[in-house]
Amino acid sequence: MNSFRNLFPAIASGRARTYLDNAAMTQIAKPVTDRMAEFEADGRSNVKRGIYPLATRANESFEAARASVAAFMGAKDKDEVIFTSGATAAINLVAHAYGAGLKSGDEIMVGEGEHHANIVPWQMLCERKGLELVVLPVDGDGHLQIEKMVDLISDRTRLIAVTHGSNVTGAVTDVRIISNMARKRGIPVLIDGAQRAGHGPVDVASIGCDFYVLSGHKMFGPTGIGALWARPEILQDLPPFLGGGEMITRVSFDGTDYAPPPHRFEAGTPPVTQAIGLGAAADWMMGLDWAEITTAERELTQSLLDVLNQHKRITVWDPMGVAAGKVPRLPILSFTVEGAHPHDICEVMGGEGVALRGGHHCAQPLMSAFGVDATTRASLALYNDETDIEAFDKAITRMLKVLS
Amino acid sequence: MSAADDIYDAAIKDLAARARNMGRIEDADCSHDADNFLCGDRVTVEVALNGDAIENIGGKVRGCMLVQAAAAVIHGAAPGKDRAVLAEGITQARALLADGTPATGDWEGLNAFTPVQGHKHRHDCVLLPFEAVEACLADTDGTD
Repeated sequence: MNSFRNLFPAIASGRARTYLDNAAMTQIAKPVTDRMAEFEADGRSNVKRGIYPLATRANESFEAARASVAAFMGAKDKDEVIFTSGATAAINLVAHAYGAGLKSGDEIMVGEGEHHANIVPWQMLCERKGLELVVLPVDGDGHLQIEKMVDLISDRTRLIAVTHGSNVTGAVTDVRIISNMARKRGIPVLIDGAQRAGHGPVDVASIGCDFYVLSGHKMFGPTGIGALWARPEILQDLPPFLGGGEMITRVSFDGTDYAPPPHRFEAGTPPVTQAIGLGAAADWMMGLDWAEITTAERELTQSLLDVLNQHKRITVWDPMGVAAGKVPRLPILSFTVEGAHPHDICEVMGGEGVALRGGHHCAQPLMSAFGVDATTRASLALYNDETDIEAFDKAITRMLKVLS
Repeated sequence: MSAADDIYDAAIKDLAARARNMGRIEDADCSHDADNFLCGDRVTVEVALNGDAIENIGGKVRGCMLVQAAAAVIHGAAPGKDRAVLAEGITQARALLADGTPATGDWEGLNAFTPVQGHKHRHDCVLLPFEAVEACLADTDGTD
């Protein structure tokens, strides 16, 4: 049995059954809940203001969590990391703060296969400021057509926002090439790492991007917490997004002076326990052998593909055919079944104990590019093993019979 | 049989298959797109009226088997009837899903959805085509 399963109570107990909806939310790891419970029970206090011992310890725990997340992301300094409520909030923060300096006619480039969280905030910014949204298309297997980027970049391009890994197909974007091309032209790049973060630490320095976002609930951490990493020289000059306590140095009715980053972008009491939980998730993940885990995830992905490819009614929207182990990819795959709708598939599969997700996966432009309304998605995490594949195989066979 | 299978009995499958025969109405008096924002299913409804009578209902269903089956029930029951019959239909559909109250009269076909009552997360699937028709007709009489 996969040794990680015992660290996830819902997996170890069997309550989560065959959990293959990890791209939506991973299960939470026991080292994470332990640290959160410890803080709530013995260390609870607000942060950033109090000077009594409990508050001092709470603040130290909070800032230690920031340092852990910074290390997970490959940041040089913990103050390059801003806690947000998730990747969506982090992208919205950038859209507002960085977008404040943009002018009518400027352009934002996004990928066609993005999650709505990396489309809609930019559309809203375009509406507010009279900007143009430029779309970098995907090819037939869901990969961004990076070769078209040069032609789509103009002297008005002000930001490029792309995913590190597709939440629909598992296709991994070559973010280093994109960042390198953009940097030569002085264009900042934002990477949506929400899916990628659940599969090991990242290194913003080697990627060469300017903004990187992630969510705790997709990397074995709690809900309601995420992080934005931003290049410090950019962060230093950005105006705040939300106003309130904790983000100022002095307030008067004549005006307000804002605190330096990261506090300038963390108005109000932060989700302290969740931030500590995210830090615990980052610490735990950094201690794992990701080469070994990645190999195991790829083998299981291949097994999933093998199951699906047995059936003529099933089409896999796979970014590299069945070569799961040969090309960088996340253990996420989507499929359609002739004559069966994804919600009906998920209903039957769920009844068999297999948790999948059906629908547009908040990626409707990608669905349009594929010419489908919806797909069914299976997504793996480090605690999945062959027993899950066996259950998936049986449930697929039954689903095809029920929905014939 | 698993807990989910009771939804997918022969009656529902038969109804869903009939939804493919709805067809489009080019000269409809009203049309409306209804979306389930949680899942992205979309029902496009087109209604041709003759006074207060429903002459024909057509459209396009992009959704699960329950959405398709519910659209087929409407397509089978409403044409030739007064538009008020649709209000009765949605009332009966909601009652059936809420507490199992059997549908009667023009809407007896709704009883095929009785197994869905225990699957609350799928109630919206059944109601989506009804809400599409309701909104479509509201467009023709100036009500919201």
